[in-house]
Amino acid sequence: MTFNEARAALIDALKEGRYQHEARDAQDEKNLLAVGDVSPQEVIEILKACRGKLHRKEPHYCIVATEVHVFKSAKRIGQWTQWFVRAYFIEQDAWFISVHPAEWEIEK
Amino acid sequence: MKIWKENDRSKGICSKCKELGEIVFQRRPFYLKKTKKSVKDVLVGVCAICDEMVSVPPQSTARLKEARLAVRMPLEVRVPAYVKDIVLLVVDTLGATVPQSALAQLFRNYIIHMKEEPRTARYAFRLLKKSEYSKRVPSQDRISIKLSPELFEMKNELHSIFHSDVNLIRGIAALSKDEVLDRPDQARIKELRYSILQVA
Repeated sequence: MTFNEARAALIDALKEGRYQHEARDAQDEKNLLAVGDVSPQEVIEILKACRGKLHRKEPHYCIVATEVHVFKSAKRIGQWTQWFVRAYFIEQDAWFISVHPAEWEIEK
Repeated sequence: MKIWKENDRSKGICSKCKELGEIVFQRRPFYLKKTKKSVKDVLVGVCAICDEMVSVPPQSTARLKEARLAVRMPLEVRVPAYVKDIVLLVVDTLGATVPQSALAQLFRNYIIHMKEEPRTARYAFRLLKKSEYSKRVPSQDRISIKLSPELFEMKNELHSIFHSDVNLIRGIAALSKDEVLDRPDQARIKELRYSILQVA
């Protein structure tokens, strides 16, 4: 799945409510969508602001055949200006691992 | 959005079995590590084989959000009445409809803002040395706001500049007056208005 395909599929899943969150220890630190600090609409804006060079793919830590999409995005939401989103798909549903603020040097 | 119910089934990746398998939705306590709070009766997807918690459906978000909002730590200081006049005037200028809620949100916004920009915090502290703030006036009024644990920690870190809660509150009042009333900074005004309207 390319950057554009993954992003469009995630946005569709968010709009239609076809998503789940991976249960993890630090849910209130690493997945702010799961705990309601950011809304699905705000995550859509974060994804729309992501440029292709700030997207990468990596294997899922449990099942290497599952492709995880990693998005970095420069978008102001509340006090934060840079975001990190990690998600994958199981059939038509999106699964979010991470949605949280991040800091990195934006590549020129 | 699909609403899941207890015993509904779906698929998910179990980190314990390291397999894509069947999950069953059940109500479980969910521990929020950063907030240090266990939330009761959260609908989660658990692995049908090993019972490990696998997923949190979006319908559980509101329950987690409500539990986190309940954790608040008090910041209470006694201040001269004119300090409270300043912040009430600032939030009124910003278009607040519920002054007390807006006032609390104004302080929260400034704590984050000054933590991110120490230069602004030092400027706010310098403002306190101006004659209009340096005159000794009895502290007859009180400002009380609730902060999340994260904001409370930021507030404490700002003591390296302000030395006390009272100076921090007075500094925020002086800075907000400077940015909103005396020398209007349109970018900051827009940001503050957005912040305040979120709790209106």
